[in-house]
Amino acid sequence: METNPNIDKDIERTIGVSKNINLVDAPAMFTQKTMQRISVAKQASRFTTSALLKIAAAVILICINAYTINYIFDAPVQQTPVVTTTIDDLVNDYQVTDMNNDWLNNKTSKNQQTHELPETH
Amino acid sequence: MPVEIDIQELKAKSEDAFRQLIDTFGKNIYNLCLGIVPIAEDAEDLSQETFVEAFNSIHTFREGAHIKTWLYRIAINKCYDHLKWSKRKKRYALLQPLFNREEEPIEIPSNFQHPGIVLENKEHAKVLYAALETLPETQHTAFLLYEIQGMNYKEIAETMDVSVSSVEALLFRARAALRKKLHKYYYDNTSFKK
Repeated sequence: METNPNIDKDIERTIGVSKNINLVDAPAMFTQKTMQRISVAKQASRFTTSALLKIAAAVILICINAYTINYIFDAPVQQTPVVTTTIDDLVNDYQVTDMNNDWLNNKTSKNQQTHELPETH
Repeated sequence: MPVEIDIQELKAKSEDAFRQLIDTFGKNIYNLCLGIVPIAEDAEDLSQETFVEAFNSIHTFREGAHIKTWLYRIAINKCYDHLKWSKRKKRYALLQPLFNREEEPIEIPSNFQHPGIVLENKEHAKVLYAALETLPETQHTAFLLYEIQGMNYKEIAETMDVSVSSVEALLFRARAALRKKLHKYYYDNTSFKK
Protein backbone atom coordinates (compact mmCIF):
# COMPACT_ATOMS: atom_id res chain seq x y z
CA MET A 1 0.00 0.00 0.00
CA GLU A 2 1.29 3.43 -0.92
CA THR A 3 2.08 5.94 1.80
CA ASN A 4 0.69 9.32 1.07
CA PRO A 5 1.53 12.28 3.32
CA ASN A 6 -2.06 13.43 2.92
CA ILE A 7 -3.31 10.12 4.27
CA ASP A 8 -1.09 10.44 7.34
CA LYS A 9 -2.39 13.95 7.87
CA ASP A 10 -5.98 12.73 7.60
CA ILE A 11 -5.32 9.93 10.08
CA GLU A 12 -3.77 12.33 12.61
CA ARG A 13 -6.61 14.79 12.18
CA THR A 14 -9.24 12.07 12.56
CA ILE A 15 -7.69 10.68 15.73
CA GLY A 16 -7.17 14.22 17.01
CA VAL A 17 -10.92 14.87 16.76
CA SER A 18 -11.40 12.75 19.87
CA LYS A 19 -9.57 15.44 21.89
CA ASN A 20 -11.84 18.15 20.55
CA ILE A 21 -15.21 16.70 21.40
CA ASN A 22 -17.03 19.03 23.74
CA LEU A 23 -19.06 17.65 26.59
CA VAL A 24 -22.65 18.65 26.03
CA ASP A 25 -25.36 19.27 28.56
CA ALA A 26 -28.07 16.69 29.00
CA PRO A 27 -31.13 17.50 26.86
CA ALA A 28 -33.83 19.77 28.22
CA MET A 29 -36.13 18.19 30.82
CA PHE A 30 -33.83 15.17 30.98
CA THR A 31 -34.37 14.62 34.72
CA GLN A 32 -38.16 15.01 34.47
CA LYS A 33 -38.42 12.68 31.49
CA THR A 34 -36.25 10.08 33.20
CA MET A 35 -38.22 10.34 36.44
CA GLN A 36 -41.39 9.84 34.43
CA ARG A 37 -39.94 6.66 32.93
CA ILE A 38 -38.89 5.51 36.39
CA SER A 39 -42.41 6.00 37.75
CA VAL A 40 -43.79 4.05 34.78
CA ALA A 41 -41.31 1.27 35.59
CA LYS A 42 -42.40 1.42 39.23
CA GLN A 43 -46.07 1.07 38.24
CA ALA A 44 -45.20 -1.75 35.87
CA SER A 45 -43.36 -3.62 38.62
CA ARG A 46 -46.37 -3.18 40.96
CA PHE A 47 -48.70 -4.45 38.25
CA THR A 48 -46.38 -7.38 37.60
CA THR A 49 -46.42 -8.28 41.30
CA SER A 50 -50.22 -8.15 41.58
CA ALA A 51 -50.58 -10.02 38.29
CA LEU A 52 -48.24 -12.70 39.59
CA LEU A 53 -50.33 -13.02 42.74
CA LYS A 54 -53.47 -13.39 40.64
CA ILE A 55 -51.85 -16.02 38.46
CA ALA A 56 -50.63 -17.90 41.54
CA ALA A 57 -54.13 -17.84 43.06
CA ALA A 58 -55.65 -19.07 39.79
CA VAL A 59 -53.09 -21.88 39.57
CA ILE A 60 -53.84 -22.96 43.16
CA LEU A 61 -57.61 -22.99 42.44
CA ILE A 62 -57.09 -25.00 39.28
CA CYS A 63 -54.93 -27.50 41.19
CA ILE A 64 -57.57 -27.88 43.92
CA ASN A 65 -60.29 -28.41 41.30
CA ALA A 66 -58.20 -30.90 39.37
CA TYR A 67 -57.44 -32.82 42.56
CA THR A 68 -61.10 -32.88 43.52
CA ILE A 69 -62.25 -34.10 40.09
CA ASN A 70 -59.50 -36.69 40.08
CA TYR A 71 -60.49 -37.82 43.57
CA ILE A 72 -64.14 -38.17 42.59
CA PHE A 73 -63.47 -40.22 39.48
CA ASP A 74 -60.78 -42.39 41.01
CA ALA A 75 -62.76 -43.27 44.17
CA PRO A 76 -63.98 -46.93 44.10
CA VAL A 77 -67.64 -47.06 43.11
CA GLN A 78 -69.67 -48.33 46.06
CA GLN A 79 -71.67 -51.19 44.64
CA THR A 80 -75.11 -51.71 46.05
CA PRO A 81 -75.35 -55.29 47.25
CA VAL A 82 -77.39 -57.46 44.93
CA VAL A 83 -80.01 -59.14 47.03
CA THR A 84 -81.09 -62.42 45.64
CA THR A 85 -84.12 -63.68 47.38
CA THR A 86 -85.19 -67.20 47.07
CA ILE A 87 -88.43 -68.77 48.09
CA ASP A 88 -86.71 -70.07 51.19
CA ASP A 89 -85.60 -66.56 52.19
CA LEU A 90 -89.12 -65.41 51.71
CA VAL A 91 -90.30 -68.23 53.84
CA ASN A 92 -87.85 -67.33 56.55
CA ASP A 93 -88.62 -63.65 56.38
CA TYR A 94 -92.35 -64.11 56.69
CA GLN A 95 -92.09 -66.95 59.14
CA VAL A 96 -94.14 -69.16 56.92
CA THR A 97 -94.61 -72.50 58.66
CA ASP A 98 -94.20 -75.89 57.09
CA MET A 99 -97.91 -76.41 57.17
CA ASN A 100 -98.48 -73.29 55.22
CA ASN A 101 -95.73 -74.33 52.97
CA ASP A 102 -97.46 -77.60 52.36
CA TRP A 103 -100.65 -75.84 51.82
CA LEU A 104 -98.94 -73.64 49.33
CA ASN A 105 -97.52 -76.62 47.60
CA ASN A 106 -100.83 -78.37 47.55
CA LYS A 107 -102.52 -75.35 46.25
CA THR A 108 -99.99 -75.14 43.51
CA SER A 109 -100.38 -78.76 42.58
CA LYS A 110 -104.18 -78.40 42.61
CA ASN A 111 -103.91 -75.50 40.30
CA GLN A 112 -101.73 -77.50 38.06
CA GLN A 113 -104.30 -80.30 38.02
CA THR A 114 -107.19 -77.99 37.24
CA HIS A 115 -105.32 -76.47 34.43
CA GLU A 116 -104.67 -79.83 32.89
CA LEU A 117 -107.12 -80.41 30.14
CA PRO A 118 -109.20 -83.59 30.30
CA GLU A 119 -108.35 -86.09 27.77
CA THR A 120 -110.78 -86.16 24.90
CA HIS A 121 -111.64 -89.25 23.20
CA MET B 1 -17.49 19.49 45.24
CA PRO B 2 -18.77 15.94 44.79
CA VAL B 3 -22.37 15.38 45.82
CA GLU B 4 -22.99 12.62 48.32
CA ILE B 5 -25.43 10.08 47.03
CA ASP B 6 -27.27 8.22 49.75
CA ILE B 7 -27.09 4.57 48.72
CA GLN B 8 -29.53 3.48 51.41
CA GLU B 9 -32.09 5.95 50.08
CA LEU B 10 -31.49 4.65 46.57
CA LYS B 11 -31.95 1.09 47.76
CA ALA B 12 -35.22 2.17 49.39
CA LYS B 13 -36.16 3.41 45.88
CA SER B 14 -36.69 6.96 47.07
CA GLU B 15 -37.67 9.17 44.14
CA ASP B 16 -35.79 12.14 45.59
CA ALA B 17 -32.59 10.11 45.77
CA PHE B 18 -32.97 9.04 42.15
CA ARG B 19 -33.70 12.61 41.08
CA GLN B 20 -30.44 13.63 42.74
CA LEU B 21 -28.61 10.76 41.04
CA ILE B 22 -29.88 11.86 37.62
CA ASP B 23 -29.02 15.50 38.31
CA THR B 24 -25.50 14.48 39.32
CA PHE B 25 -24.63 11.93 36.63
CA GLY B 26 -27.13 12.64 33.86
CA LYS B 27 -24.67 14.74 31.85
CA ASN B 28 -21.83 12.19 32.16
CA ILE B 29 -24.04 9.29 31.18
CA TYR B 30 -25.52 11.19 28.25
CA ASN B 31 -22.06 12.09 26.95
CA LEU B 32 -20.87 8.52 27.41
CA CYS B 33 -23.85 7.23 25.42
CA LEU B 34 -23.19 9.86 22.74
CA GLY B 35 -19.62 8.58 22.56
CA ILE B 36 -20.78 5.08 21.68
CA VAL B 37 -23.97 5.89 19.78
CA PRO B 38 -23.44 9.30 18.14
CA ILE B 39 -27.11 9.97 17.44
CA ALA B 40 -28.56 12.51 19.88
CA GLU B 41 -32.06 10.97 20.22
CA ASP B 42 -30.75 7.44 20.65
CA ALA B 43 -28.17 8.60 23.21
CA GLU B 44 -30.86 10.39 25.20
CA ASP B 45 -33.08 7.32 25.13
CA LEU B 46 -30.20 5.06 26.17
CA SER B 47 -29.13 7.31 29.02
CA GLN B 48 -32.71 7.40 30.33
CA GLU B 49 -32.86 3.61 30.06
CA THR B 50 -29.62 3.46 32.06
CA PHE B 51 -31.28 5.21 35.00
CA VAL B 52 -34.42 3.08 34.72
CA GLU B 53 -32.20 -0.03 34.78
CA ALA B 54 -30.35 1.41 37.78
CA PHE B 55 -33.70 1.90 39.52
CA ASN B 56 -34.79 -1.67 38.79
CA SER B 57 -31.52 -3.30 39.81
CA ILE B 58 -30.30 -1.03 42.63
CA HIS B 59 -30.61 -4.01 45.02
CA THR B 60 -27.66 -5.63 43.18
CA PHE B 61 -25.36 -2.66 43.85
CA ARG B 62 -22.58 -3.65 46.22
CA GLU B 63 -21.89 -1.42 49.23
CA GLY B 64 -18.47 0.19 48.87
CA ALA B 65 -18.46 0.22 45.08
CA HIS B 66 -18.61 3.52 43.19
CA ILE B 67 -22.06 4.42 41.95
CA LYS B 68 -20.51 6.31 39.01
CA THR B 69 -18.62 3.30 37.67
CA TRP B 70 -21.68 1.11 38.25
CA LEU B 71 -23.82 3.50 36.19
CA TYR B 72 -21.12 3.70 33.50
CA ARG B 73 -21.13 -0.09 33.24
CA ILE B 74 -24.92 -0.19 32.80
CA ALA B 75 -24.75 2.57 30.17
CA ILE B 76 -21.93 0.84 28.24
CA ASN B 77 -23.87 -2.44 28.17
CA LYS B 78 -27.04 -0.68 27.04
CA CYS B 79 -25.19 1.12 24.24
CA TYR B 80 -23.47 -2.02 22.93
CA ASP B 81 -26.77 -3.91 23.03
CA HIS B 82 -28.26 -1.10 20.97
CA LEU B 83 -25.37 -1.20 18.48
CA LYS B 84 -25.68 -4.97 18.11
CA TRP B 85 -29.43 -4.66 17.63
CA SER B 86 -29.06 -1.97 14.96
CA LYS B 87 -26.34 -3.96 13.17
CA ARG B 88 -28.51 -7.09 13.26
CA LYS B 89 -31.10 -5.24 11.23
CA LYS B 90 -28.61 -4.84 8.37
CA ARG B 91 -28.47 -7.34 5.55
CA TYR B 92 -26.06 -10.27 5.90
CA ALA B 93 -25.46 -9.31 9.54
CA LEU B 94 -25.86 -12.96 10.52
CA LEU B 95 -22.83 -13.88 8.44
CA GLN B 96 -20.61 -11.14 9.85
CA PRO B 97 -19.36 -13.03 12.92
CA LEU B 98 -17.92 -15.66 10.55
CA PHE B 99 -15.42 -13.15 9.24
CA ASN B 100 -12.53 -11.52 11.05
CA ARG B 101 -13.74 -8.36 12.77
CA GLU B 102 -10.46 -6.62 12.00
CA GLU B 103 -11.26 -6.87 8.30
CA GLU B 104 -14.66 -5.26 8.78
CA PRO B 105 -14.81 -2.17 6.55
CA ILE B 106 -15.58 1.29 7.89
CA GLU B 107 -19.14 2.29 7.07
CA ILE B 108 -19.90 5.96 7.50
CA PRO B 109 -23.30 6.40 9.16
CA SER B 110 -25.78 8.63 7.40
CA ASN B 111 -27.53 9.67 10.62
CA PHE B 112 -24.50 10.96 12.56
CA GLN B 113 -25.51 13.89 14.78
CA HIS B 114 -23.21 14.48 17.73
CA PRO B 115 -24.01 17.86 19.28
CA GLY B 116 -20.54 18.12 20.86
CA ILE B 117 -18.64 18.22 17.56
CA VAL B 118 -18.01 21.48 15.73
CA LEU B 119 -18.92 21.59 12.07
CA GLU B 120 -15.31 21.73 10.76
CA ASN B 121 -14.51 18.44 12.50
CA LYS B 122 -17.73 16.71 11.56
CA GLU B 123 -16.45 14.76 8.54
CA HIS B 124 -13.40 13.45 10.41
CA ALA B 125 -15.53 12.68 13.45
CA LYS B 126 -17.89 10.60 11.32
CA VAL B 127 -14.94 8.53 10.08
CA LEU B 128 -13.52 8.23 13.61
CA TYR B 129 -16.79 6.98 15.10
CA ALA B 130 -17.37 4.58 12.23
CA ALA B 131 -13.83 3.21 12.66
CA LEU B 132 -14.29 2.89 16.44
CA GLU B 133 -17.44 0.87 15.89
CA THR B 134 -15.46 -1.77 14.02
CA LEU B 135 -13.03 -2.26 16.94
CA PRO B 136 -13.61 -5.00 19.51
CA GLU B 137 -15.87 -3.79 22.34
CA THR B 138 -13.15 -3.70 24.99
CA GLN B 139 -10.77 -1.63 22.82
CA HIS B 140 -13.60 0.69 21.80
CA THR B 141 -14.63 1.24 25.43
CA ALA B 142 -11.08 1.84 26.66
CA PHE B 143 -10.39 4.35 23.87
CA LEU B 144 -13.67 6.14 24.47
CA LEU B 145 -13.28 6.42 28.23
CA TYR B 146 -9.69 7.64 27.96
CA GLU B 147 -9.75 9.91 24.92
CA ILE B 148 -13.31 11.23 24.95
CA GLN B 149 -14.44 10.94 28.57
CA GLY B 150 -11.01 11.93 29.89
CA MET B 151 -10.92 9.22 32.57
CA ASN B 152 -7.60 7.99 33.99
CA TYR B 153 -6.33 4.39 33.78
CA LYS B 154 -7.50 3.56 37.30
CA GLU B 155 -11.05 4.77 36.69
CA ILE B 156 -11.20 2.93 33.38
CA ALA B 157 -9.91 -0.26 35.03
CA GLU B 158 -12.61 0.02 37.68
CA THR B 159 -15.36 0.69 35.14
CA MET B 160 -14.30 -2.16 32.87
CA ASP B 161 -13.48 -4.49 35.76
CA VAL B 162 -9.94 -5.18 34.47
CA SER B 163 -6.42 -4.40 35.67
CA VAL B 164 -4.62 -1.13 34.93
CA SER B 165 -2.06 -2.95 32.77
CA SER B 166 -4.91 -4.44 30.72
CA VAL B 167 -6.23 -0.94 30.12
CA GLU B 168 -2.79 0.14 28.85
CA ALA B 169 -2.65 -2.85 26.53
CA LEU B 170 -6.20 -2.25 25.29
CA LEU B 171 -5.45 1.39 24.54
CA PHE B 172 -2.25 0.48 22.69
CA ARG B 173 -4.05 -2.11 20.58
CA ALA B 174 -7.00 0.24 19.96
CA ARG B 175 -4.74 3.02 18.65
CA ALA B 176 -2.79 0.61 16.42
CA ALA B 177 -5.97 -0.95 15.01
CA LEU B 178 -7.50 2.47 14.49
CA ARG B 179 -4.49 3.73 12.53
CA LYS B 180 -4.51 0.62 10.36
CA LYS B 181 -8.21 0.92 9.61
CA LEU B 182 -8.05 4.65 8.94
CA HIS B 183 -5.09 4.14 6.63
CA LYS B 184 -7.01 1.58 4.62
CA TYR B 185 -10.11 3.78 4.56
CA TYR B 186 -8.28 6.90 3.37
CA TYR B 187 -6.23 4.91 0.88
CA ASP B 188 -9.38 3.39 -0.65
CA ASN B 189 -11.22 6.70 -0.70
CA THR B 190 -8.51 9.02 -1.95
CA SER B 191 -8.06 9.97 -5.60
CA PHE B 192 -4.27 9.77 -5.24
CA LYS B 193 -3.31 6.20 -6.14
CA LYS B 194 -0.39 4.96 -8.15
